[in-house]
Amino acid sequence: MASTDSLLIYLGLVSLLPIIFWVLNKILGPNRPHVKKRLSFESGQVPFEWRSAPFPVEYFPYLIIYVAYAVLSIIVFLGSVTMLESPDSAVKAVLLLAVLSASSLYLAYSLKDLSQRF
Amino acid sequence: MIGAAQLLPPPPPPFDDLIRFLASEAFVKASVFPGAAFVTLFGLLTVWYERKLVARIALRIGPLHVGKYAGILQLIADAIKFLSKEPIVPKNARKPLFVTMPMLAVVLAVLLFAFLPFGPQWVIYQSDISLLLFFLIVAVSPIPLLLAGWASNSKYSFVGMVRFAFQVFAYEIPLFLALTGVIVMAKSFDLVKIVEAQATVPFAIPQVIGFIAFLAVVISEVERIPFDMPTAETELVQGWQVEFPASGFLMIQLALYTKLDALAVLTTLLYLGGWHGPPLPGVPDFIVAPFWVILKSLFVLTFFLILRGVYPRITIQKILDLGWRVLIPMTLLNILVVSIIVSLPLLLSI
Repeated sequence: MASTDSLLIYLGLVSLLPIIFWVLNKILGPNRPHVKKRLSFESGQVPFEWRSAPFPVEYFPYLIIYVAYAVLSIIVFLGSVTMLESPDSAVKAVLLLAVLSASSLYLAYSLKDLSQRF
Repeated sequence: MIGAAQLLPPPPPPFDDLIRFLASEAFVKASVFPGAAFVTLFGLLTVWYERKLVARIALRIGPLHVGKYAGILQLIADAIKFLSKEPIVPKNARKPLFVTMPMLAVVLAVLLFAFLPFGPQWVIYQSDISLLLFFLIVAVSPIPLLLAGWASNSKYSFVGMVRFAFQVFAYEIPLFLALTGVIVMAKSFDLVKIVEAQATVPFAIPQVIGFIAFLAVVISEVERIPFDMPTAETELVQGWQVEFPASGFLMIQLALYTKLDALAVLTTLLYLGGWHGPPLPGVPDFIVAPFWVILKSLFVLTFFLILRGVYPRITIQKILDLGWRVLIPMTLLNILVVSIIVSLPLLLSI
């Protein structure tokens, strides 16, 4: 119970911190609005249109791999955690991990030659 | 005849309950150690330490010799400067998200310390699944930062945010897999039990592959050099943070430094034996335990901070390559080694 109380008090104090910062900033900071102050940062360049902003499509293959690996990592995690509950399944888990490690090494080797530009 | 007033207990002295509450274990842990006051001081110390360390590496006279009292007053001056700037919201920004996301980022970063034990009894919230709770907040913590970049609605912020999102893809799975090795070896999700399992040998020795991968992932998680592509000061002028002035910028920096501290402490607990260390003669155990955790965490922190002074920034391509082609195979191999070590008696008996 004391542990939960500590967490609740801590959560309260933590939530207060950004509010204090924000209020202090409102009190201490000047309030002289100007239209130029509200312009987006352009680093001294002549502003250009949004459609000219680059989007790094070349990293798209990694996104695809992420989707596969995210599911795989959950399976590995659950498989490893079951070892804690039933040591009899340890052999199967070790075999699964051996196959996964070997395939990930092969994938790492293959990715070296994957085209990054389209 | 006895009056009703004589039967009732005497009224408590004024503020008695308040004093009892302030002196309670729950309040002391939450507000002093390892709670709010300690976390704030640790964050400030990290900023000061980084300035001095990097100034010494780069031989920069300014930060090395600034002010009296070793430059501590400069931190207060910086905080006052940020708080006395005008809080501007850019014209194109999504105002509600722009204002609230830095606040949420601070709350999530500081909340990480609630689950980190500095000794068997020095923990704010003791739980059987403290590592999972910690990881849950770590996994959620990039979301306010990504939303902060998106809410700025500026080109530099957008490019920084996209880079940040790709970086998250690269390191999140290795982080998950590196933690799995620790959980399997300690047979627990409780950080106190994980440290107790390292009483004889710290996990950094049997899991050296996982330890190296975890260090790389942690540096990437907090966007430190060489993995600071999302902010990339010299090319993206702070990337997704560029539109944040005044208290917004202060809160984002506070969130990132606090997260760095929390992950340095977590590294100590998971791999470096936590509070296990030589006993100090005459010093009680409940003081020695936090001493070792803080000392080891400072060593880990020094390693993270030194990288800024000695390494150049690498490209986003290299970060993705490192995540997918190096760290994932490394962490899977680590789990394989751990599973063999853990199930060795069973495998030999077959």
